[in-house]
Amino acid sequence: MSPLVFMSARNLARNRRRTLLAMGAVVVGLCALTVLRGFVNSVQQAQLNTTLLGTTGMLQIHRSGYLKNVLSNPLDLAFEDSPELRNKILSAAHVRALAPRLQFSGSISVNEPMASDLANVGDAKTTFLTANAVDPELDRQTLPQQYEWLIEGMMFPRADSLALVVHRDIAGPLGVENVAANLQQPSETWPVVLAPDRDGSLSGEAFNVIGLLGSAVPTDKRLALAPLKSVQKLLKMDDQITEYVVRLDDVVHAAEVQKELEQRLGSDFEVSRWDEILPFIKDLIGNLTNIFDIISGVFLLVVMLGIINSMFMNVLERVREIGTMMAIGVKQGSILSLFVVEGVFLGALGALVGLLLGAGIVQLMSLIGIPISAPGSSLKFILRPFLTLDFVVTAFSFTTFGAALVSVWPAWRASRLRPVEALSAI
Amino acid sequence: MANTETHSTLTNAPNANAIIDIRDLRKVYQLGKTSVEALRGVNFEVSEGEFTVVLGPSGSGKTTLLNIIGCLDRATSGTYRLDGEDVSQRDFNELAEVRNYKIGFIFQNFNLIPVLNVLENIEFPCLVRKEQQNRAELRERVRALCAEVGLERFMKHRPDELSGGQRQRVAIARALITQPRLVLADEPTANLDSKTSDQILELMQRLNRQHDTTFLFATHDPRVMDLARRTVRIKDGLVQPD
Repeated sequence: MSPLVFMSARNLARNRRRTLLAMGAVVVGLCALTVLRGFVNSVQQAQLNTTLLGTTGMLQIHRSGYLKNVLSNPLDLAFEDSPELRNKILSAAHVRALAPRLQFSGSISVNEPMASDLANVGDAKTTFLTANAVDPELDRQTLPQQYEWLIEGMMFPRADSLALVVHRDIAGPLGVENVAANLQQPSETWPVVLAPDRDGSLSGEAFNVIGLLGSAVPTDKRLALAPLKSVQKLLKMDDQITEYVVRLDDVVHAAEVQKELEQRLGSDFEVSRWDEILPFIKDLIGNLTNIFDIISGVFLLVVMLGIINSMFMNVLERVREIGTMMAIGVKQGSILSLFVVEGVFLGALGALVGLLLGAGIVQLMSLIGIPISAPGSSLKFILRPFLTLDFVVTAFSFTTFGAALVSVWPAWRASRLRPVEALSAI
Repeated sequence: MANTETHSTLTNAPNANAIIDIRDLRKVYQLGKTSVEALRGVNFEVSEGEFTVVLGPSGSGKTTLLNIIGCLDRATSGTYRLDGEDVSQRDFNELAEVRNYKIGFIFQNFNLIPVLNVLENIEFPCLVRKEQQNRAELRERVRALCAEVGLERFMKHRPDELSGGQRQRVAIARALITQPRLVLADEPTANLDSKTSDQILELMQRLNRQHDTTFLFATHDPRVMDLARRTVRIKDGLVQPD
């Protein structure tokens, strides 16, 4: 080991109190950053999971032009759900699951007063809904998170059931929120779903409400899940769907699979990534990262100021020692290295301890779990903070490199002392 | 002329036997708008193996002269040849190399590196050299020097665990480890009691004889003056005739 590196380490140990204070600032700063990063990671992960595994999926496949016309008349751009088409999609690399869906809008009405709602006898109640007609088995494989939002009752068992799962905000005003009681009701009392088919004529069918959904996102209060086959029959659209939702083994492959599927399916179809369908979610996640980066910058700046201060004190206290080393023949570059190495030790050790401490707290928080409600959501999410190796390596490198960088100034001042003046310092 | 005020008559040709050969050395300090001439044309020689004392009151230029001789500072004009080489115009790093290879320093306040133990302090000047050191051989030399200055039992001690006399012995050993051509001792006994001072002076005298190393002292201590083979007096920036 170079004698200067050796001396740097010993010098840090010499003035323990100052070293501990300066290192303490690094430790506290890095620890706080690590915990914050772990928390931000879990928030971003929850947001991403809600989107990728609960609402949008990782990829969606529609007829060309569907996303542009979805608000006018989406049923016009329905297409046939064929085994060949499914195979084309499922055989692509990284595709793990696929769910056909038929999106439609309509109204739901209680035709006759419910027995439990005697005060409103004779009043018909109607509300609007935006529904996804799904195959329950395939949908669960593709969007498993959605089924965690089922706060009461159950999912319809088959695609040809006459049952609905609706948001609590739909069920409440209709008086059908008691799903256990609903199961006992005869079909004549079930709510009727009225929806326009592709020709614009209204069709109706009675569905029993057997499950209630909570809010995962603020925009899902009109959401209902309906059995695919039953809805296709209602809308006279046998085997027709509006989209496939695709789940991949990892979302990082989304762009690559998108290209592959675009080639396989040709120009009749459009393949959209989750961040193209819901760009604001990507922005939200990106903004959180930006905010974290700004906070990190401020933290690191404070930490670096602590190191600069400590290093200047260090130089000031050791002026005569620097003079002695110069008299002995130590060159300017070596004096500079001596103090920079001390700064690097301070930064690296502080970062290491801070990261370890922070990782411990993150691990503990992850084990306990942090219950949290997202804005506009009626559901409690359990956040489990976690860290990525990427963050740990970046935080350690930035702190160590930053410490080296800010130490150059006091070290340079030390190396530029004149031996005569340094030796005569008191 | 300044030459007439020096202690010896000098020719223009460099003295081949001189370790220190100073000609018409001037040092001017700029203090704001005022110039202060600390050395006003000093001519001075020290031959190999001499045990010389430089005397002079405060403000005489003694410290300035010693700093220049020690290559810690540079003269404003004039020439300084150390061991036959003109070092007057060397830059900072070149002077650091000259100090490391040719000069050993013994300071009034010992100036040991506090984080290094006795052994490490002594070997330190050799370790800062560019060329690779044979550590085993170096350690052997350090041990031999420690024994010579009476520190063999304290090699693992840090400076703050030693007495003043012991610290000065470490400084002497550190000054000698590089086998320098010149040892500069600035008030080496000022912070020591009389008994320890005598021991230190005796040690330096012995080392001077054994190693034939040139010693140059700056001191007010009459005991050092008694031991010196030659005394050089400096006053008002000029070396006084003997």
